[in-house]
Amino acid sequence: MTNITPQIKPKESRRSKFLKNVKEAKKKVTISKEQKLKLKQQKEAYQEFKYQPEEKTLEDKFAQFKEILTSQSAEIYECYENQINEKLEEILKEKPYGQDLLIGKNNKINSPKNSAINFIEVESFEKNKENYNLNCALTTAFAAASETGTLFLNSGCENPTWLNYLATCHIVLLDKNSLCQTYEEAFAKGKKEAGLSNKPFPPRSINMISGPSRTADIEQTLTLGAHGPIELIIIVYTSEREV
Amino acid sequence: MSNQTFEKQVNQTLLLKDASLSKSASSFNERAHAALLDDKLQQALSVIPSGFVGKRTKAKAALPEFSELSDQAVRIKNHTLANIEAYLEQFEAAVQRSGGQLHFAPEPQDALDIIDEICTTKDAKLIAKGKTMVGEEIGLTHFLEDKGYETVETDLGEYLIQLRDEMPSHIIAPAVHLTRENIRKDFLKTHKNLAKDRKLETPGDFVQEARHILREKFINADIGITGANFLIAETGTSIIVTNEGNGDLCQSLPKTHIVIASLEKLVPTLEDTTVLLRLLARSATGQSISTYTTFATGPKREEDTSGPEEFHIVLLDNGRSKMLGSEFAEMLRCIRCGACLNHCPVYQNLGGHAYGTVYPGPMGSVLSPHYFGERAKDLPFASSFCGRCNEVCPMQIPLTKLMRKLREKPLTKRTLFAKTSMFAWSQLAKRPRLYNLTMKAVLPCLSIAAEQNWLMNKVPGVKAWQKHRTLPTIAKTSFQDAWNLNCKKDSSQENTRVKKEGQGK
Ligand code: SF4
Repeated sequence: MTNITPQIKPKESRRSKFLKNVKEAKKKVTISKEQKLKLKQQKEAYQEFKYQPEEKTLEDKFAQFKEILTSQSAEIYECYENQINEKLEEILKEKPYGQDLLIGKNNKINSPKNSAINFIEVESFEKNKENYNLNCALTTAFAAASETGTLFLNSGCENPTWLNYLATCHIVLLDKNSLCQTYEEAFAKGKKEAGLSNKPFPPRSINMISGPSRTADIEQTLTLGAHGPIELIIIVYTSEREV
Repeated sequence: MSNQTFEKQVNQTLLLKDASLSKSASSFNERAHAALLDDKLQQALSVIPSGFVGKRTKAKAALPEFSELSDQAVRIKNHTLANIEAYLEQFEAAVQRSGGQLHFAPEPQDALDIIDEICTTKDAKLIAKGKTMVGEEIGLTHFLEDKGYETVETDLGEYLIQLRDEMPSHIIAPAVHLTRENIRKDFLKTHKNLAKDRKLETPGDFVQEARHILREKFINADIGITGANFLIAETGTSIIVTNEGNGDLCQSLPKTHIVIASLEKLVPTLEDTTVLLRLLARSATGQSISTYTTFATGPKREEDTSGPEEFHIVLLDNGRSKMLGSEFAEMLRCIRCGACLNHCPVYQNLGGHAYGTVYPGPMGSVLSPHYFGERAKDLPFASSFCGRCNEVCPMQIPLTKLMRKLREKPLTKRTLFAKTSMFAWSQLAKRPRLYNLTMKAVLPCLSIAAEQNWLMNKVPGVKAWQKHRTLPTIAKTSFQDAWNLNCKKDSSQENTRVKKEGQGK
């Protein structure tokens, strides 16, 4: 899948020693008939299990999503799909970060020319190494799970992972219809979409993001902006037709 | 290097680190004493009960399916461990399929050598490291520093203790023992390029400064090393969970990404991890989920414009396979959430350093003797057996049962004094008459002595015991005597009642 062949090959001797140790340890385990039956039952229960909390309507999911993320100090805005650009202009005007906005290639926004915002399409991180203290960056979530207010983002050229972490202010676009209730649903959605566009699943990275970066390492006091974004802004859009 | 020499080396480094806590403490007891007398440490530790414990209770209550999920989590791990060979092979194939490399490391030294080899081949100078307990276990940072690589801990807590050359004192919050005063001194000493009179007061000031310093490291690192909370056999994926986002920078910016993990981190599928993730953050910090959970599979793909070009997973055994075939196999279910530490009265009073190994608290008392042998032999005794750890463990590990089993092991040698007193006690306990007589003689004396503290302190062992606890008042009569007396009273009352009733008829 990748064109670079790693130079370090794992050593066979270590591999066989490792597996031999495991095998020998396993041999030592004697399982009684009773235990065997219990193991079988456990396995069946394991395979049958499905996490199914009470199902929510889209509006309920959205309310939960919004409530949790707001409590985590994220900001959430709603708009129609054709108003995203204006919404962005509006938001950036309020913020102290200037008008530059870093985005991946072939992004959803399509970098409108007549915008007050200066869209900068980035490629590799290497090329941007010089000014790593980015102000604002925008990426797109392929799904979200309302259960904990979590965004799901794929890596890829339209969504470089480093944009999610290096910007002081991270803006995420989310289609309201991609809002799921559970993690399982969100992953299933990702898998399906990868299949439809003939991409391998999982991609190099899937990032689950549930708020701005934080730490409590200084005397257990919660502080935002540890290494990643200090602000997380989510724009939830709906296509005009449906409204 | 043989395993024994390795152990020696680790012991030396750890002993050196211990020295920062107490000059010559080498046993749990000595370290525990030092910790109790350390006012600053006590002040720092005082936040644990109110912080972690309360938050966890709330988070658990907010998820009605918590115990159902916990049952499934136990089944997931039991099933994986029962079929570990098959899952290891499936995992290896999946890692290779996605373009990564899986390195098996039977011993810590193997893991260190593999990582060293990768770093040398890549001509690495600067290494950015995310938080990894397995890395701590094998002394990875010290090893890399000794090899001449600039190695930077990027988790803020780990960074703080790296500046002091200490061990983490908590598996989730490594620097929980430090106060702002400690940190201020370290920052002023280390970050020499910054203005001397800068403001370093609020937690925000410290976080901003660390962010500024560490960012430069991320940007220029040649290699990023992270741990893994889970490994997925089906897809060859490694998963990290952080709140800071440091792990993500470690694994998305440098050209090479190395994951160091151990074999019990395996789970079969992506869906299994979602079950475990719901338990992890709630049990650990009381959050419903940590801010960042990241799934990394293979190196960057051909069409990607960024991401690491190489992806290596180093999988450590170090005694785990032995546990697999033993009565301690259940311990391998541990997801390192730290709930058992936070709820442990011994841990709450001593902090992590007293345990002398990187895995403290109840989980450490079971794990450390397996991973570090002799050095951790007294840890199974570092428990009051109150059993709170069993209750809060999301993986339902019977921690006190396992500690009790370890206490029975010959590894944990008893002193002559302990042996003779135990023997005398057992002789006494086996003879009820003799026991009663002795008690009748001893108890009144003890209870008088207890009223006169100076007298009590003359009783062997009591003075030391009283240093950090107060002795409860001692009853004048034994429980058995009181019981018998009461029974007699009862039965005579009963008799009179029966008599009266008889007369009434
Ligand atoms: S033993 Fe249980 S409670 Fe303790 S860290 Fe492991 S999983 Fe958490």
